[in-house]
Amino acid sequence: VPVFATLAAMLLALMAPVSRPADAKQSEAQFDDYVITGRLVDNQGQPIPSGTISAHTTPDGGLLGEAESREDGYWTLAIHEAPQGAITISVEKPHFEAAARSIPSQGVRQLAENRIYRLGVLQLERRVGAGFWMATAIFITVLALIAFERMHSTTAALAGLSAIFVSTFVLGNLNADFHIFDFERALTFINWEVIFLVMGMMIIVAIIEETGIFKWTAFQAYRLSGGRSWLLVLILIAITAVASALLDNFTTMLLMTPISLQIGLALGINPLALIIPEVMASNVGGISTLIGTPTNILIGAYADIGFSGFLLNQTIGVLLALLLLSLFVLFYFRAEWAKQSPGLSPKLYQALRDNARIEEPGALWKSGLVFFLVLVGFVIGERFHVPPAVPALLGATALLVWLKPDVHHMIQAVDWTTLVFFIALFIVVGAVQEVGLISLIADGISGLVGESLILAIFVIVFGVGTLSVAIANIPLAASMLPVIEFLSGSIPGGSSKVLYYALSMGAAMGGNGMLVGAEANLVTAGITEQAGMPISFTEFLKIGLPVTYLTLSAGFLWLLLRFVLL
Amino acid sequence: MTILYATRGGEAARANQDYVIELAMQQGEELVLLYVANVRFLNRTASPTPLDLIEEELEELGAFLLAMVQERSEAQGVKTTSLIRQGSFPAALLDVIEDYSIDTVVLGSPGEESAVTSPELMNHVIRLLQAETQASVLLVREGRAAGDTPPTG
Repeated sequence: VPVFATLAAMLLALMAPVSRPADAKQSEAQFDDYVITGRLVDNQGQPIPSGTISAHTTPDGGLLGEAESREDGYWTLAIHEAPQGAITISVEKPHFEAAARSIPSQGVRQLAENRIYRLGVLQLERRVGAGFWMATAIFITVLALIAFERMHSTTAALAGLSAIFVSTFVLGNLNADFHIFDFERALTFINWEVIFLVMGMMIIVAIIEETGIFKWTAFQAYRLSGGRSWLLVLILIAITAVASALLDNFTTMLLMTPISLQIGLALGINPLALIIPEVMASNVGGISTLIGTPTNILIGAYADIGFSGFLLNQTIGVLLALLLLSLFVLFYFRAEWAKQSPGLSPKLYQALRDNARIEEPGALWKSGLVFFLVLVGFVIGERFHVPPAVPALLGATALLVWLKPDVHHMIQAVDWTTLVFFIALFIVVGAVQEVGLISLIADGISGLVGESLILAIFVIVFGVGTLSVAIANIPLAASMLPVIEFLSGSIPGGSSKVLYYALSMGAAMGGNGMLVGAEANLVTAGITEQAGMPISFTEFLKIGLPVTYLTLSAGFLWLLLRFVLL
Repeated sequence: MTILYATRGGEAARANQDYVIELAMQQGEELVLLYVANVRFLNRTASPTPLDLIEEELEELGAFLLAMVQERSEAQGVKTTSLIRQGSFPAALLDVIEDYSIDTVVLGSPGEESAVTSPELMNHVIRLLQAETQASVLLVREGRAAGDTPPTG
């Protein structure tokens, strides 16, 4: 009976009309209307969209008109009849304390004469209610489910999204305090630029990866090193970093690991001495471009940082980080470099060479050309405000038309679970942004760093880097973006977007701390296990933690030089 | 008489490989080397994975690993065949035992770093082989016999 009663209550709640600010009666301003304008901001000065503003006569409280604040917080309220007497402007917005302001008689006269009155900025105070706690609990649960691998990340994000809507549409109808945000508002948090850029790049990468270019390059590195394993690892670090910057680190390691295992065996060394540095270089190398890491794609779309922005502002920091990484692994694996290579028999050498052949030379040059044009499109597109998703989608389509691969196969190459993960994640992060958790975090960090840009860079690089060791860096970066936006606006010098670059560095470099810190680490470990050479959690940690903090230091120093000292 | 040795390679497996080559040489038996690739580890990741391509890569990796063992065994005069399979390890074992009339199956002892099997899988495999085949199972650890199970099937 209690179950049925609960279900019945839920159904009734769902059927009940939902009070939504978006549905508020709007008054379209006509040329002969009397217009009151203003702006809604929170206590951080950030705009408040979707707030309901209503004008009432005083003291009888008759409704004169209603309006809704836009994305930039501005609102325009139209009154169709000439105002008489005092007017009170009331503001309501879920998760904020309701506010009211009276227009003085002088102001009403001004409105009557000029047909416009500027009320100015109205600051609303945050209200921590049941919706806040629900959204916060859901967000933390999603992060925990992903971090402890209790659930697939996409399922975890979808579960979080569902819980948010249950809170809004079921509990919110029983008690309005549980309202988090309505469906239309939730959709505004989805960044479609990210979705389409990721989708376009997935198709391009799927075509390039089948050409065999990764294996061929690794084999050329083997030949070039002339059997000197210390030189080989340096070349492989460079190749992996560049490949990760241009494609993505997951695919790079997926295809570099098998051939690197074979090369390590051919040299008579522990192949992990090549592969662990490679995967760490792949996590670092991606930082230098917009498309190198998923977190950069998120940051780029949010902060309007293009391909050349990342390239020009991050590359030297990445090179410094790679230098420190190289020095560390040269020292750590020094016993391996001292081993004498027994050399390969002609038969095994031929087998290795065959395994490293270019599979499809025709497809390689065609896809290489299109990929180059996509990169050019990224750079030129910035000048004409073309979102990076456009060149990526054009490139993907051009390859599909030119190479005529199996379209079904290519569509399968698009990882829809990842795209759904992004969509659900955007809404979950949007929920904690809506209820004010992100503002609280921003306040906390702001209180910690004050107006010091140096301290802010330090806290973001090392704080996010340390959190990324254990927490999945994509949700972390997504939830930090509004915080960074606030800090960038409030700290002197922050408008250079340096804090976004700090976020990029921290999120990606932290992935080297633990084996579970990045997807590339996991796939690499999976492949080495297939060759009887598993990478243990402890072994990775022994190398990963020092590398993480060395590379974070390099990134921090570079950002300091680039944006503060020079 | 034919010995089947399932291996993934790796430095830790080298001593076991030497043991199997020595065993085959002493008993004048043929040696069948088996590498079973399994892409199940990709379930741990959420990123897009070109499954066909990865299976192909792992097959090439396996072929190279087995070629290194085969070169050493043939240098000792042991007639050797290398086989690559995908998917379930027990299923691959059963197929090869039947196809090549295997008498002895040699496996790296569970718990050893490069062992193909976990203790749970090993128990399952032994029970399966006893029920379905005439082959005996020999466990090797660090280049020495770690125990064998008589054929009962």
